[in-house]
Amino acid sequence: MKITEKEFNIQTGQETITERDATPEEEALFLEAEAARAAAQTE
Amino acid sequence: MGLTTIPVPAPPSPTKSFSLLNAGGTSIAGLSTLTISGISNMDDIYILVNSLQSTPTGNALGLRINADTTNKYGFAGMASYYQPAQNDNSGIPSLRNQAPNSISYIEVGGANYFTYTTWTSSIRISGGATSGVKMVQVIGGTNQYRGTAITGMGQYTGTSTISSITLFSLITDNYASGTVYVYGAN
Repeated sequence: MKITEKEFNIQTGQETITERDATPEEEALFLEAEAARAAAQTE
Repeated sequence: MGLTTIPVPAPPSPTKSFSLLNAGGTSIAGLSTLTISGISNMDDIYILVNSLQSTPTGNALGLRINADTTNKYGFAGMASYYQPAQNDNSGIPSLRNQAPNSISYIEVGGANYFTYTTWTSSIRISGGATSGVKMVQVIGGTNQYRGTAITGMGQYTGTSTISSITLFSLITDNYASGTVYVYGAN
């Protein structure tokens, strides 16, 4: 899973975009939320 | 004997004049984390998170100040989320009581569980240009699943003046759409 982060500096107008892989902990949180959503929609 | 001149600090401006710091707003589409940096000498900061939408997985939104991930935050208020077991689209309000210096971010919006829910939050931070406690007021809600909302006051006890604001997905998923407007006044 890819995670995209952006910083926008209001002084310089510069945008910095970083893409990285999710950590195992972040991926687990995502899967947990996805499972909760799926369960809720079937109720 | 000579006179001693005691410097007197300039009094604060009797009126505040807000201006939009990020012209046109900044899109959060495709992002998990958005940081607005370069903020300077803004004592009063107002953030509008407009029409935030998740990707298919619901995606709550957190706030950090100066990218500080330590437990310098607290929040007291009410949050309600759609309860699937109720099956009637009604949110159940519940107390949110997070003591000062007990959490590492303040939740400011976003809805868990549901697809493509549109969420809007208003966040006001006072005391940003001082070394004192920053007070964070949050009001937010969604267009679907009535009763899903968050409201209350939080605080951040970091002593640096505010130079950046970070909004981030609590489950590190990228948002589908949304625009963030940051206003400031000194």
